[in-house]
Amino acid sequence: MIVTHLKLKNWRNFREVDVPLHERTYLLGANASGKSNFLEVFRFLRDVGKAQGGGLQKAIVDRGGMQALRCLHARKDNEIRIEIHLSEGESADDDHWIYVVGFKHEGQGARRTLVSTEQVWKSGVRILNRPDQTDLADKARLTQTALEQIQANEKFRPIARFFNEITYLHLVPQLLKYAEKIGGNRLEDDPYGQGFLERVARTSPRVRDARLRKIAKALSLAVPQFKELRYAPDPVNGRPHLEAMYQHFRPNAGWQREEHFSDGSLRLLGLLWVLLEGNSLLLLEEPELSLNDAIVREIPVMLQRIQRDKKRRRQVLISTHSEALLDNPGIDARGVLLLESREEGSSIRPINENESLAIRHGLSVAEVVLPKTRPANAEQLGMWE
Amino acid sequence: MFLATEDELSEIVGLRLAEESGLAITDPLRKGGNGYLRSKLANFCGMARGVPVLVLTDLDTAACPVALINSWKGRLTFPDNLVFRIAVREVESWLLADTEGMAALLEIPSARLPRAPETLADPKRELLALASRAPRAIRSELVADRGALASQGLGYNRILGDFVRNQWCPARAAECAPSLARARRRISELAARI
Repeated sequence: MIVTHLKLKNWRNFREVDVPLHERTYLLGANASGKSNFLEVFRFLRDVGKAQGGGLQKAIVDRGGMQALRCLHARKDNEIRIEIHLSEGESADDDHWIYVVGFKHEGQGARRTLVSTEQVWKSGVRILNRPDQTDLADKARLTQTALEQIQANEKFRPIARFFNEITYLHLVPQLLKYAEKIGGNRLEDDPYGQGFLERVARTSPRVRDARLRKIAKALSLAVPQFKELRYAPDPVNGRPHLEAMYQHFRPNAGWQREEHFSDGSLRLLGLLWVLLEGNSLLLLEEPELSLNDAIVREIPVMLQRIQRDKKRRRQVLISTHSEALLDNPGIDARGVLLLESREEGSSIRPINENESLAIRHGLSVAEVVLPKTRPANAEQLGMWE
Repeated sequence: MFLATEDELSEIVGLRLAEESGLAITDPLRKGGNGYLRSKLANFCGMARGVPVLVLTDLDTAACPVALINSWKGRLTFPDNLVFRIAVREVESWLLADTEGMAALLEIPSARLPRAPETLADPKRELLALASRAPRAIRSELVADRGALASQGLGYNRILGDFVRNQWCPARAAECAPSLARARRRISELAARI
């Protein structure tokens, strides 16, 4: 299933969003233009729909409450609304789903956050429409979405499952290398890769070894001297570890544990692992970090490879600032979204007519769209003192 | 020695041509586009008094190689060890000129390939047009998917880079590409001299 369209109202720094999404969607924008906030919508829906320890109220509280979620530029209308269109496939016979959820503070009393609307459409037929009579009779029901309730989401279980499987990884190498020293505190779902090794450990040995073999093949192309990669739990305390062998070490120098890997090797390892893991929507935040341009240049090609494989075909949303990542004229520019900061909040748009013209004539996204994300006065930063 | 080119594919072609004459490129220089080559031409001249420099660029829409050289050169004099070569019109015509190799890559009859690729106004477009009739596996790498907003396939450089490294025969290609024949001659002269 892929997300084909997204509409937002009053979400974070967006007053209004209405954009199509493609199998590979690239989000471009200046710093603080809202790229992460845009990706956050999908993690929010995942948290709302989570069967254990999820739900609308928790997803809101975890993000700092309605004040933090609602767009500062929202006018009188203070409802936050998310509308997401999903499709099972490309043909018209496939099921098309629309899920809509809106919520806002109740105007009086306990000032709870209540669902103001929740709708599900399946191939053009509305199969859920809240608030209904029972909701109006018992307002407490509106503190929960139907999405988060197994009994209520039966008819649209496929989309509940889809939200549940959304993957996000923004591996921070230092958090992984120093995980033991930094200690226990870890965010739910581990977005920053502190528990990446446990994730590897939980995979069945057969699948794990196959994936590590594939990853080792890629690493040997990208990391000079790299030779072998293996999963090696600590013999004393059983903690999971990865070990690599490099060519230039003395043959008996032994295997190096992940804390000795370079930041770039770890980032690439994490990236390759999530690409091989599952077939759900994948959110990648600045995959270019710590990586050499020559490797970054290959990221779009690797993503295409993955998508050619029917079993692993998955939608990927990528936020990036990287010229190298975008300078392949083969990138399908229909999947490019440009975020622009304005006084009344950020706006987001697909590429326009002039930009498509330039791309049809052989220019790359890096040439045509990326310059628009540069802050107008950036050169004056050099004068900073 | 140095090899200065305007894109990845030209760099791989340059490496192949140097290798064929037994020259080892130690320093490939590239920074996207021929504007870079042109702006650094004076620097290359200075460098070539110490270590040979091979500069490869595309003629693109310039009237003829002599006109392009003169307009770039201005008042510079090229030292002997600066070899400045121009692919007429683009490096893609040098690839197309190896009709046998290209036909094998695209799995199409070699009769479909142009006899004189240097006379084409846009050899890259010709290559893409030929590739769009190739079997799916190769086509989907070289040519943008139907409906996609892109001018070529994501694997364009990778596939043609592999082709140049492993399949392309410069000697065979030079028979249909006079500018390549001249480039090979100058490079082998350089190799004989140093």
